[in-house]
Amino acid sequence: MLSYIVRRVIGSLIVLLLITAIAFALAYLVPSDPARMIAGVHASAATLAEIRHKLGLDKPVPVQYVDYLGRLLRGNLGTSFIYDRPVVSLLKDKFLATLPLALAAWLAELLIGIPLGIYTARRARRSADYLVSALALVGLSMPVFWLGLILLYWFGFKLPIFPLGGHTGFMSLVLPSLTIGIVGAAYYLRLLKSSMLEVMGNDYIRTARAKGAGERRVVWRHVVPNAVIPVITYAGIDIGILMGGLIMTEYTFNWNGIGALMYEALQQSDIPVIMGTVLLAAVLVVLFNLVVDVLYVFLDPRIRCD
Amino acid sequence: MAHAAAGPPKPLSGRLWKSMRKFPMLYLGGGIILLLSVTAIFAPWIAHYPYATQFRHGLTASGTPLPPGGRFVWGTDDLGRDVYSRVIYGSRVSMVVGVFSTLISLVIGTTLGLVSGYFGGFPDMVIMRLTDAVLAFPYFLFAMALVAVLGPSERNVLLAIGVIGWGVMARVVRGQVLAVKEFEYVQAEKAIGASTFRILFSVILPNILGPVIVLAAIAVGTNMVMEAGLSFLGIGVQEPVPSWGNMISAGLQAFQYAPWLFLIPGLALTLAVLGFNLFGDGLRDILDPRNASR
Repeated sequence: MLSYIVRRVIGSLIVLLLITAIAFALAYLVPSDPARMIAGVHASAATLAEIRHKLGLDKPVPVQYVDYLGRLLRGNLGTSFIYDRPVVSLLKDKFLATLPLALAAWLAELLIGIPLGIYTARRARRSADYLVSALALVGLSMPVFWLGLILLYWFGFKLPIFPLGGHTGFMSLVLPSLTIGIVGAAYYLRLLKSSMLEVMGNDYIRTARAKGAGERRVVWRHVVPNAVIPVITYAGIDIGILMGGLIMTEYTFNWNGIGALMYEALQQSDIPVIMGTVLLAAVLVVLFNLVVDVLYVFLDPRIRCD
Repeated sequence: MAHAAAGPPKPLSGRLWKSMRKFPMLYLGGGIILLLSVTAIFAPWIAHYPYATQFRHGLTASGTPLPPGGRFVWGTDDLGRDVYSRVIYGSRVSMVVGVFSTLISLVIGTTLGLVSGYFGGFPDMVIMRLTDAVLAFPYFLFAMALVAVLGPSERNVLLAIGVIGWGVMARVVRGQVLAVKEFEYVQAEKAIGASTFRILFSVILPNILGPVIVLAAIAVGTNMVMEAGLSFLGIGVQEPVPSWGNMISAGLQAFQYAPWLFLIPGLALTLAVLGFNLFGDGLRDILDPRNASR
């Protein structure tokens, strides 16, 4: 069990190292003049020269990468040239503003997706299943920023139940989190449904039924616990998809968090902010996956005995 | 075939109808894709006007867009341009970016997956760790960062989406190769001295194509949404060229007084993506009957 966890941690560290290599390549190797990318379009020649020297852009590439890693380890993601502030402190501020929205959106995904997944699996091949599955496929095909606009138009403007944007307490949280929640729920629904159908075909389910277990007991005691593993795996990956949705949704709903910061950075090519955000998201994905892998040890006895 | 001997062969239309009833998703999706392709190819003939023409009579007296109906069937936008024509032309961007970015991912992912699965050992380890790293980056954010560095344009959006979207394909191809490479027909080719290149691309590849095509079909839809998302954020296709994404973005500015500006391109995009998702799902059901109930 311990060796499993150690293996996972080492694997994650290797992936983290590769992630920083990709981020480094994006920021320093792809652009023709990284210093200008980092300093912005209006930087003076003296500033550029100073940045080149400070970042060691005149050194060989491997040395540059090691320097870059050193800066990352010291928590230095560079300086935003729009705000003229360290990217790390910017991200920290905006992250706190995004957190309630992200949590609400994630909760909405689970609260819509999981019950519907169980429901359609139990009613497989009946009209209710076909209807919900068709709706899920439409939800899956809908761009999240379009759904946001539709909700905003109908429930913010036509029927002014919710505010048109900004963050003013609970009410302003409803529409943006539903926007992300509805699109995201479709994945959970499909995943849980197909996983449950697979489990239901197993012999031990037939045995449980043969022993006279009621339908409710079969589903909740035998099917759901065995079918939930891929859903948990997906929840670990979902954090990254959630962040993509947040950027567009925050823009639509005027929510002043990480998404809004990213939008602004994109408009003005504030590369340090963009790279910092992407790197943060990737690191979060790796960490979440690691947590999920470790959780498996407690959820799945097969891994414990391995 | 056994049942063909029982009577005269059914007419083609009858067989098609039967097949359509058996695989409704595949045909519905295929129909939408066909409609979309025709629209994109023949856009200049289907559209009523050029996409960038700003009509003097395309705005109300107070300068707001015209609602759908009359000379401009789907209304006009803030600059007095015909929304219908722009939506029709917008299909071109979606199709080109969706299809070609998927092809790029397909080439990279399939090659890496084949090499990784077939050779195993060190190349496998390196490729799979790289795949893990690429997959750890949230797809959309990664594309955003790449476009931000390359500069906003349709070509760069296409490249960015294509270059980073191969992770899942590489994994699936590798898994398939591992299953297939021990089969006798592969071993037989090896025994008669076929080159590695031949074994990989003309023996193994055709036998694992099914799941890869399913992934590719769904990827086209996903990539269309990505392009639209990037254009929505202003770093994709640039005005005056219409993309459904930049049209929805313009609709956001006017959503209170001209809702058709975001509704119509969004509907077109959803329908297009739905087409590819239906097609992919339908194909998967045929290839893997265990999933047929999905």
